[in-house]
Amino acid sequence: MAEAPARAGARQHPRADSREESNPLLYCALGLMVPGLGHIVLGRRGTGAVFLVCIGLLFVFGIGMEGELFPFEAAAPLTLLAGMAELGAGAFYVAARMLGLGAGNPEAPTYEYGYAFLIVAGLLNMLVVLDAWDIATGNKGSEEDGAAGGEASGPAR
Amino acid sequence: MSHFGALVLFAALVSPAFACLMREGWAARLRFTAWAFLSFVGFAVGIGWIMYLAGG
Repeated sequence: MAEAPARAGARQHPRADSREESNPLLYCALGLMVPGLGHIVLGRRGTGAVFLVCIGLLFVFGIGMEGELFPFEAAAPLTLLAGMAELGAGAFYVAARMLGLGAGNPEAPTYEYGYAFLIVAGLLNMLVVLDAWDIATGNKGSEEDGAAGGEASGPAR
Repeated sequence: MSHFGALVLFAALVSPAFACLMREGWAARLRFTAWAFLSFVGFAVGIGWIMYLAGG
């Protein structure tokens, strides 16, 4: 009977204690910088890789479709919001800015698709960051990949 | 790239990300990815037909 608590404790993920000690904001910051990095550091490598590839390709295709990285203009609120959404792509956004990409070509047939891809990439990464927060704080993920025997990760509680 | 091509590409990239956000376990995620992808494409094609027929 006395072993029950010990067994329950033994099912915890080895990193659970270290997660509780570390700041969840760290994982969010990592995820915001590089899509999926927060999940990878949390031990969910497969999930993080999916986010990195999907968001990265969304951003790359958005640039390739001649989408625009919108400037931060306070006088144009919608443009400002679009720019902030695109900023959510983190390293991809910074790299595109540094390489001088994302000027956008409104005359291109794919211009609207392009900036839609860029905006969705940024917004999707913001959701991913919130997901990393939930995992790091133990609010989500007790059976990560258990059904298919995927990556080794477990509860953060 | 055609409209439909862009739609399919968008659905193919967004569906797995949503699946990883909303489901645990790779089997469930795979099912959700397929469901989301088909929903994206199906609803877009359906709405396209509705607009085509309504527009005469």
